[in-house]
Amino acid sequence: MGGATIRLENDLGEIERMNRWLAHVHAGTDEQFERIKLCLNEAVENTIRYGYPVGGLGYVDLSLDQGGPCITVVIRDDGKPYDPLARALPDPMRDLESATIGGFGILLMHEAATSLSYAYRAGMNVLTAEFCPRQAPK
Amino acid sequence: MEISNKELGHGVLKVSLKGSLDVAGADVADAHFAGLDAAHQRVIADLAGVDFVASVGIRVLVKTAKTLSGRGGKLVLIHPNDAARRVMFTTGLDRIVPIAEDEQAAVTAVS
Repeated sequence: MGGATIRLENDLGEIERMNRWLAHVHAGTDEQFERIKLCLNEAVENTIRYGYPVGGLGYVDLSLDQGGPCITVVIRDDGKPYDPLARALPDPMRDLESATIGGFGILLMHEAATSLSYAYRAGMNVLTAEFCPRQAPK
Repeated sequence: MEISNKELGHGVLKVSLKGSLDVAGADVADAHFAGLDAAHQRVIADLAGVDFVASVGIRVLVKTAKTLSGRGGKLVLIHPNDAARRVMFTTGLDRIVPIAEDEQAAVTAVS
């Protein structure tokens, strides 16, 4: 397959439309698809929830390309400049009493993607995630 | 997200979830767990019908486990799919909320 794109408004309800788009595109193997879906849900939720002032309008552009076994997803948004990769990763929870409610999205993004990179270009946050197969094709 | 409750006796409630624990589904699940009667202290969450778990879903499960623990109760999970298990492992949820092999084991674990 070649590339696929979608533009989302900065509304959390748009994540459902994104997931329908992903299911339609269904790039790569099932395990790649699961990882892409997880990473995109975390990244886009974070962008929409925290990247814009209350009531501020904006958009998030997604593109997905598969030129070989690896799939590259690029997330561009016009929210405030924010590098999610600069944030320290939380430790996994160890006990119920000390467990924090939330903050694991970035950890799951790192776990899901083979590689992640960030740049701020022309007023846009650009997060690029690559997903290579982890299992040999059966 | 579709959610149903089933009393298993001896104060154990099984909550079966069907759908995705994404942003939309997690909101529904959060409202459901938060609305449980305080008499329900021992809860089994059956995730057999859950096809996707994001961090918002983990947040709901942690919050529910903390609430139940505060009442002297417990949350036990059953039937997460492989992708959900990986999310639980990565976040450490599987260390703080037991995952039982089946309903009978969950009843024992929650009691």
